[in-house]
Amino acid sequence: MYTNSTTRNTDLFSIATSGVNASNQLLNTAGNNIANVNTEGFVRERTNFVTQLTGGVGASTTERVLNVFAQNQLRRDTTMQSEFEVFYTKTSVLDNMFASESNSIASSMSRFFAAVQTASDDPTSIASRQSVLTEAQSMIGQIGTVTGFLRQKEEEFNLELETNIDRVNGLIQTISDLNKAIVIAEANLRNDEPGALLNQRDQAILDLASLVSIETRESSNNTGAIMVNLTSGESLVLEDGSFSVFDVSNDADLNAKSLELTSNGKPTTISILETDLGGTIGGLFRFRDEVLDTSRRELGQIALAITETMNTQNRQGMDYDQQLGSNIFTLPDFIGLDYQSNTNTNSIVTGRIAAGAAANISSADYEITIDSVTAGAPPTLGITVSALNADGSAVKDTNGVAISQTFTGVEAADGTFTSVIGGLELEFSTGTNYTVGDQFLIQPTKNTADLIEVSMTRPEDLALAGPLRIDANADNLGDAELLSTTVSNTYIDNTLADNRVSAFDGNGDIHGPGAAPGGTVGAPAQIVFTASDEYQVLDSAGTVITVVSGITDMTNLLAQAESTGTGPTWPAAFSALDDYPGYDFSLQGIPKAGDSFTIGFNTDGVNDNRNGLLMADLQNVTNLQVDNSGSGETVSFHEAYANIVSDVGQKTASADIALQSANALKASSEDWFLSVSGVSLDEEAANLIKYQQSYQAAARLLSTAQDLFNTILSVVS
Amino acid sequence: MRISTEQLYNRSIQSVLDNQGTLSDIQTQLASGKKLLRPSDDPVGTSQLIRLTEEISLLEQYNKNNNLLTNSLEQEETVLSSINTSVNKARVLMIQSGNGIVSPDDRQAIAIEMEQIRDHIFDLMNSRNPAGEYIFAGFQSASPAFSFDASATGNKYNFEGDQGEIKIKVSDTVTLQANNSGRDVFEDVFSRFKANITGSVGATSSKLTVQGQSAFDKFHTANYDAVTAANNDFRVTVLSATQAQVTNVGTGAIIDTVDFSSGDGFLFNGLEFDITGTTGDTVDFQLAPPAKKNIAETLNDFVNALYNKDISDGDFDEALSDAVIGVDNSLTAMGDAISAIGGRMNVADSVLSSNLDLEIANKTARSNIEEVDYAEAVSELSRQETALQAAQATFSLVTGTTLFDYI
Repeated sequence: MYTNSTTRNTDLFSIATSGVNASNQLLNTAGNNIANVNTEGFVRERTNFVTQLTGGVGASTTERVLNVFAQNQLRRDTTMQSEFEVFYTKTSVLDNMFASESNSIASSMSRFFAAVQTASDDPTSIASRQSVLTEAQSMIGQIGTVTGFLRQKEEEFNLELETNIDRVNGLIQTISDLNKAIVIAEANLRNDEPGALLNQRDQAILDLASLVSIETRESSNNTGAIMVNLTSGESLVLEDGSFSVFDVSNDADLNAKSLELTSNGKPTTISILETDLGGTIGGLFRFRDEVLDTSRRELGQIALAITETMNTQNRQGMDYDQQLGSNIFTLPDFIGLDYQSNTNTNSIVTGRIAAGAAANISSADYEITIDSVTAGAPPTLGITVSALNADGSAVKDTNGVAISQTFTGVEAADGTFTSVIGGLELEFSTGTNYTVGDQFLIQPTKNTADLIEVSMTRPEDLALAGPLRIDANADNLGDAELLSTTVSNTYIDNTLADNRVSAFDGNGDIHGPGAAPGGTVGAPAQIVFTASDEYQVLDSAGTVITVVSGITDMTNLLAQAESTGTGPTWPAAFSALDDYPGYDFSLQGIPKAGDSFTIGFNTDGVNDNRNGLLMADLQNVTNLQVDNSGSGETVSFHEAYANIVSDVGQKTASADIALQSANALKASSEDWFLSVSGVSLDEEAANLIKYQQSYQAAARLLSTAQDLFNTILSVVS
Repeated sequence: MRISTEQLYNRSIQSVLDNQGTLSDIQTQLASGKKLLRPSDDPVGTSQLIRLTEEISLLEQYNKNNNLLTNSLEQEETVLSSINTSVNKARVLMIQSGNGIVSPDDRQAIAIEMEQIRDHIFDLMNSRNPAGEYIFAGFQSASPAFSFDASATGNKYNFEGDQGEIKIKVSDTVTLQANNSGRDVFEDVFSRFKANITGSVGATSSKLTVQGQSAFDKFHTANYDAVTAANNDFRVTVLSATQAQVTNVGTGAIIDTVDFSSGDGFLFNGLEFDITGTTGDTVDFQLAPPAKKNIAETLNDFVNALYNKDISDGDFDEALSDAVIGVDNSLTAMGDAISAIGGRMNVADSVLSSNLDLEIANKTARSNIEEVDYAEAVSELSRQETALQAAQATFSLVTGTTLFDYI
């Protein structure tokens, strides 16, 4: 504080006093600067004087040395730097995880397929079959561990988000409070700035800028208050002292947090994507939406696809006990999540991966909207299924059209699954009142990878053998021999009600006459060549099913029979089904009239590894959708995993570069700011000497005036 | 430019910290021997690394498979060649027994030896691999490939397995068969093709012998009709004192016109006819259905002929011809199988060596991506160390001087 001393009559005393006071004031300021050299957010101060008309030094003004442009630049660069910093820090955790796990999932997949090959090499060895199950367990465990880690990261994200939101709200409150204090202080102090308060507010604004991207404006009527708003325009701190705070909200998925603003308890939505908020909070959201959620879902996609593919192949084989293969893995069901806006919150929608649909699985989420409800027993629904990205936006196909499909007549009954897009089957529970407009969210790949289990416990159940055996008759005279057998369907339903039914009866045989669809002839059990280019297809009772003549090649003889067989033609009851009988075979060589081949269940065929080889081949099969656009581009399991890892690596690498440049930018703007506003001890040391000297000079002036006065007095006396 | 005290410290500290970070990275690289510490160091390289590692472990598995394949092929080859040796021995005995000076007692002795060869071969036909699986049984390897039923009316040695092929993958594209079904190697062997006279009209005598077996085999193969039995009946009609005609009874087609002289033999496609008759006489003959016999069965039939003391010379000659041709056909089938095995072993061998080459190439590629260049890293380490020391030295220099020292 300083004291203003002016006198109406100019005299040496008052000039000297004003000089002493002024120097004192300067020394004060310099001392204050030195004292605050390590105070964060302190802006150096300068005291300026004006010359008094009547002589002596006049009123002093102490103000902060500040370049507003430098300060704004620093805030913007801080926002950017902290966004990239948090993004990089978070992403590099995943980066490190994939580095240490680097080849872990890949190598456990390799080991699994290697075990399948070893088991195929010697299909009668129970020990090598057991090792397939062990490796399956370890592969699923590995995927589960990584998925669990990613799930923890989401929980961590939610906690961190809430902490940061609390900090933002605290800072908004602080800025608003400081605004009020500054308005009052400025009104009280005519000449000086309330530097300490201003520093505190600037620091709070800088802290806020590191959390979200903001803009500031000076109050229009120069009260000293500052208004703060988001870059997108929403006000955070208003001139009148009111303010808005952030609120964390979520829709169907309780773990997918989003933000909204609340002003006096009234929520307003933010017209900006969370990922564009900037600062720590924007960086966190970007990490979640761009890295965490996508890699999680893609990992889930791999897990579901690999297990479903293996299940399907195992079902198409025959196990050591000479039964048709069963599932190796149990895939979880997905519970549809209710949206908060739903009228009826008791409805349950369950999803699961349709058998054999591995190639259609994408990493998208699916939103199910009830379009219509028709009463009945069971009630039928019209639904729309739309594919969503991890951040909730619509998935576009290759033409840029949102992927969405409507289905009508969907029965709402327990146990009735309707297959929809993305390899999914949906079940709508019985007896619940669905309301038009209700929506459900199904996330097949988000939380499922660690829920998959190896359900097969007996190594004998591994279906390494093919279920069919095709033998040339011993009396054949021609040199035709079996080239290959294909089994495409082993679905068992001896009631024949299901369209998926195959010719396998599940009791170690194929359908004979009477058991097969149509009720007359049985499934193909023999072919007999009546000429080298003509053959009859017969059932197990020897009844001719159809005759094919004029053949030019001997591939897929049953498919040829279905398309060109005459007198009688291929049974319509067979063609009406999805895939009946579900097997086919090809021959090579030249048959002679009278040659025959029998088709039968592979009873006692324990040393067969045909299905095992097909399973091992799945390692190289490109059967996984590379993206969700339905472009049809596919990759193998290993490639898909390599894509996830290199994607995370790519993002980390570019985040690293972005962070480095943000650091450089921030350093330079900090440099600029400090260059103007930072305290330099050397400068203050020089100032100290300078002010000390001017103090001494003014004091000297006072003593000179004293001497003069004394001289006068002595003359008088 | 004005430099504030904080700037001075910030700058000095920052450069020390930066240098420390780089130094620590290089140190980790040197310690682990890897320059790719995390995917972000080289995202594209990481994905190549995953694929290369997968490829390498796949190749290792293929090599294991190859070993296994070679083992089982070698075992089968050994079994087949020892059967081959035994069969050849049996063949020598057969030729010996056909010698006119061999008495019926000598035949007994030969029969005893041949019996043992038969049993030995039968045993080998039911060979098992180290895991106890019957190697010639196809998919049904848990039970013996061949059975013996002494009381059976037809063949007594029968194949019980199937034609299942065990295939083993030795590379992404090559899958090789690891077994041969007993059906192909032993069972699918034709016994001697035959024809016999079924009737005659007018002719006072008629006789048919197979004189040229290979010419007859061709005729039989070309003309035998498995679907219409009547097409296997042929008729020789004497057209004149010098000519006869052969027709197919079933189709009525004229097959050939041959020179004929009553009471003298004439040859027709390896068949020698000896017909006494006049113009208009006919003799009918039929192609016998082709039969398949495995080597054990062939030897067994001949053993029975050897034991039969009452057998006529003609019947014994027939039995001997049957046996020799059966044995020759068996040797051909086994020879085919052995050369197929040799072929597969050659393929397996060349696939193995190309797999090993690929493995080396992949490992080189992997180490190029992943492994650190020590010379480079060490020089980088010392460079960074120097930089750090410089930064630390300038820190004390820059921050150590202050004007206050001079007041």
